[in-house]
Amino acid sequence: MEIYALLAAAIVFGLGALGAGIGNGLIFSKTVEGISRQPELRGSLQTTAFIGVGLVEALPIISLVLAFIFMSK
Amino acid sequence: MNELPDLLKRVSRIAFFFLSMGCLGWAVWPAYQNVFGGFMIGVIGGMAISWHLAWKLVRIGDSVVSGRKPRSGLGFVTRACIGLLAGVISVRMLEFNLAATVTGIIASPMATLVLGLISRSRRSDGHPTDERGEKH
Repeated sequence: MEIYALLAAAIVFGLGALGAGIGNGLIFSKTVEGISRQPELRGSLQTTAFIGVGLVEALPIISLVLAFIFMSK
Repeated sequence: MNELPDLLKRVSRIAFFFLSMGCLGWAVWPAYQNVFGGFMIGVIGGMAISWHLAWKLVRIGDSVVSGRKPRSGLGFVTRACIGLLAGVISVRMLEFNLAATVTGIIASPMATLVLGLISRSRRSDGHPTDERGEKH
């Protein structure tokens, strides 16, 4: 039973982190590219990145919390 | 104009409103103290995650503008550990409700989304053209 709990936690957090890694990479690459092209738009680009990254990272953080809590029960 | 400190201030204000509602529920409904306690700890963790993300964004923006290579990453592991710490303190140590804790953690990103969309729609209403003069 314990090995299944470990496997489930690994799958939950691994898939969540995979999607978050791709999403974060896309968001930050475009943000850095935009800031380096037009530094005067830095404020609005940072705000857009803040909104996007906050949403993208919410899912893996929740999956990490749930995985650890369920694994340790 | 830098909108990030303003947005962070509004998100923090909403998080403090959620915290005050949690305190009120804790005091008024003693039977649901595990729900409100978990929600408050989750809101505190979500607020810390938002502050850390804004700090990292400002640091990366500074290094990009000054032409330096960013020395550190985006800090996702730190934010994940903050969320995990909030969950472990709430559920394992204090034995609060898990679903309420997770709801509190995602309260700040949801508030960020709603406030960001509202400010974006207000900005596009007030200024029909962007900086280049193109119509949306």
